[in-house]
Amino acid sequence: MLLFRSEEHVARWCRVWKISRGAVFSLPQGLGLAKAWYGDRLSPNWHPFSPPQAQAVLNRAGLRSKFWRLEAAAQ
Amino acid sequence: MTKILTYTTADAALRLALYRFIVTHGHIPKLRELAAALSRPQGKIRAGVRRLAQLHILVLQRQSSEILRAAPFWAVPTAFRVQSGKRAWWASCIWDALAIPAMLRRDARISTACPCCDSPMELSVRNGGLLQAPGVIHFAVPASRWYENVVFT
Repeated sequence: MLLFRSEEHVARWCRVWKISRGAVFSLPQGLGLAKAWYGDRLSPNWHPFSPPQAQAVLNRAGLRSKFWRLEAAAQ
Repeated sequence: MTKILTYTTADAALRLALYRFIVTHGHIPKLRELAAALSRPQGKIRAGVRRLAQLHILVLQRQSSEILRAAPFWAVPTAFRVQSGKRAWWASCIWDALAIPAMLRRDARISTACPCCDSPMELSVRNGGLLQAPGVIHFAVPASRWYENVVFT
């Protein structure tokens, strides 16, 4: 999950390193996702997400395509 | 048959103590350092940390079993440096770098570089928002494969 100057730079980097283009989104979207995923990590009441809870965080951030389906992921 | 671990109050206490150490000291501690800070035997800390790794809360170094990742913090230097006040931490990716001010609820400056052209990129998070938002985030790995190789992800 890297930060690029522009979508053109993403495309060039993917071409050079022969990596398939994944998902691209804005920094404000990234900050929103970071808050939703990590915002309560310092709380004594924090508990690991279950897979459905983690998927719900992604869904609420508008990340609903197949690329964002956790399915077999560990957490 | 794989034994399924449950996140216990002891796990929660060790996790919270670890995170408080990282926030206070600006780095992920070695096991001996954490044991000393908590006045507990290193063997107990090692076992507790191993449980947290089995619960996918931490990632450990393969050889030494020291802590490599206590998300969003990273133990070794990376391309993402996050400075807040007098403290600074390493993050493994832009998502985790943004997560540090989000988690701390503090202002921060994130320093990185575009992987394509190597030009420096600086972000400032103030009062929970971005002062500037240059660039775009690229997720190369689909969510279903994030934990196959957490270093690459």
